[in-house]
Amino acid sequence: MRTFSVKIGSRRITLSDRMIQENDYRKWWIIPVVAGVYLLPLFLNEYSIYLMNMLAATIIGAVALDILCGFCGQLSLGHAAFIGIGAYSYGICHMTLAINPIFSLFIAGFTGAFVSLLIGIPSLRLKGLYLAIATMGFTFITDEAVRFLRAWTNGVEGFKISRIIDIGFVQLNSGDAGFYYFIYTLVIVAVIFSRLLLESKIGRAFTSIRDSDVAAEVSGINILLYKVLCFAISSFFASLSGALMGIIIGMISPEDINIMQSINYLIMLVIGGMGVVYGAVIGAVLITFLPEWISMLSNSFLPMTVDLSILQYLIFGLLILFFIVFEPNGVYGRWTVVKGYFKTFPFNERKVGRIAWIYRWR
Amino acid sequence: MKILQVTDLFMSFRGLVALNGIGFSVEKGEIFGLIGTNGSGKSTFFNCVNHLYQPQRGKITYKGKHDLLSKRSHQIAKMGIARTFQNLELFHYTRVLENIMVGLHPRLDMRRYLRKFTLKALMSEWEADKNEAFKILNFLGITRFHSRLVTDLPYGLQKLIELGRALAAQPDLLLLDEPSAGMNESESKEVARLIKSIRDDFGCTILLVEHDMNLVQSICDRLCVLDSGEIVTIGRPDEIVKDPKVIRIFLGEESDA
Ligand SMILES: Nc1ncnc2c1ncn2[C@@H]1O[C@H](COP(=O)(O)OP(=O)(O)O)[C@@H](O)[C@H]1O
Ligand SMILES: [Mg+2]
Repeated sequence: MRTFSVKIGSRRITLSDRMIQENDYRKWWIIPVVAGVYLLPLFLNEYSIYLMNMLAATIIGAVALDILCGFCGQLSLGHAAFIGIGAYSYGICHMTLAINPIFSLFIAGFTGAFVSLLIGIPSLRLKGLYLAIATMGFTFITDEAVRFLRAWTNGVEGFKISRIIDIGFVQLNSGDAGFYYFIYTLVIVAVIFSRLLLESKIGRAFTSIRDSDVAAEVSGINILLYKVLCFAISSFFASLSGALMGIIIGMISPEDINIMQSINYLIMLVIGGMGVVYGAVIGAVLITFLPEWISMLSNSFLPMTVDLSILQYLIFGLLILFFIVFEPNGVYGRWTVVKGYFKTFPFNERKVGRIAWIYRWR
Repeated sequence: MKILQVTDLFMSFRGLVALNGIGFSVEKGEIFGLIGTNGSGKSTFFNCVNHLYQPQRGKITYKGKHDLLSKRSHQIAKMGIARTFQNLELFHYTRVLENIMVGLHPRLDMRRYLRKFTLKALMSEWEADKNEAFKILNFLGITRFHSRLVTDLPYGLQKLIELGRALAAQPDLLLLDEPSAGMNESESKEVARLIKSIRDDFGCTILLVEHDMNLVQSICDRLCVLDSGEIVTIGRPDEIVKDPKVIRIFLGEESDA
């Protein structure tokens, strides 16, 4: 191992090549973050806990889409379909077939993964926008299928899902702090899982397919296999998130399966930053709370006559424009730039590259 | 022993003939140079070996038994054929170390992680994987760039990283497409030294496409001259440079320019 020395002020220190490592894998900040997450419900009212639980389900959904779009570069508009499939299969398993809720959650995840295999194997030969269109078609098909299978799904009236789940030793109501602990444990597992995935051989295969599929293939990566695997993992989490969302809302209907929902998740990735998991979490937080903040602000500053939903779309639109123009890497991308700046402060020789996200979907 | 046997390889792009029934064989352990003017079909040949292109006719046999044109690209890579590209194909938005580790892909066995039960054992397995990549970086002398994004590095270094990714697979046959393109004289001397030591240290056979005649002459055991998809001649470098047909092709091009 080579060593060399650098001079900082009057001190001279010797570094080996490996010591100047940007990634420190001992992430101590995890401890306060996890502690904070678990302590938070002590300070929240009922509505905030409901909102936080919704946020948790959304985070899992956003991380799921990040695995597909951010890691592997496959643009999908079928995310809402998998979320819906998750909610319906949980509902059918738990409500109709009376299966244990924890099993039902797993079955919901695996149903999503299985369906993704069915549609992934033919459609993942498509690239970029063509895949987006194909998956959009899948959203429409799922919507229609749900309406058609009225005997199972209760059609347009929607399917009622119990808000109470029995996890063996306690019963949790999805509006309570107890459910909060349950669902945030799942969030933490999902986030850690996807970070480890990113650092593993499989995650590297995903990112290399995103950056150059030719190079990935001549490096021995079976592109179709890994794309399908990525789609399956992503759909598993998407369906899990859908099932949790169904439990929280207590209801799922075919209207929830629309491409606006899919686009919403893409917006989270753009605003938060793609391909790093944390970005998806940040995006989910912002997009979940933004409507709340907007209505809070407008209640205090605007006359009642202003239509809130229009204002909300306006602000969303402006926000997306802002991020696409000024920081395509999202909030997390900007943070890495700031962090890199402070880390190297006296010698800003090490720049953190900007990532053009459009590039990934070319 | 012949590591690569090419017979009657023909490839055309909608009527434009890029390879017109070429055939030759490469011995194990040699550095085999492929030279020719631009558009003479050298890169196309590499793409056929990788089965990125589907030639209309012909056969490529690897190690006497594998028919490469019946295999998929990733299977070919797993059989021990690695390559670099003329126009870089790197994973631009990941770090140098990760780029090299993609090259390790066929060699890493994920199942061995499942047999480790403590966090410490898992971490040390993971460290071992990374150390493999560091060995390559050390060999190329670019360890200190390991955590940089590839986009931030100059072209010459990117070429080295791509070479490193190919080496990480510990290939038996290494295809290098213009490794010294865009480099100055001292850098391309360094590349020549590197290619020689790759052959000696890693024991791989090297197929080399290169424009720089000096470099090719100094390191290749045999040369094949291509012109518009046809083989002009094959032989030792010192014979090739005296061949009037070759001189006409290369000097003719130079006097035009
Ligand atoms: N994908 C392609 N589509 C059409 N024509 C191609 C393609 N690849 C190469 N060619 C043509 O084949 C010929 C040989 O190209 P190439 O193998 O790249 O030459 P070189 O010897 O400079 O590497 C050129 O005329 C080129 O235009
Ligand atoms: Mg070429």
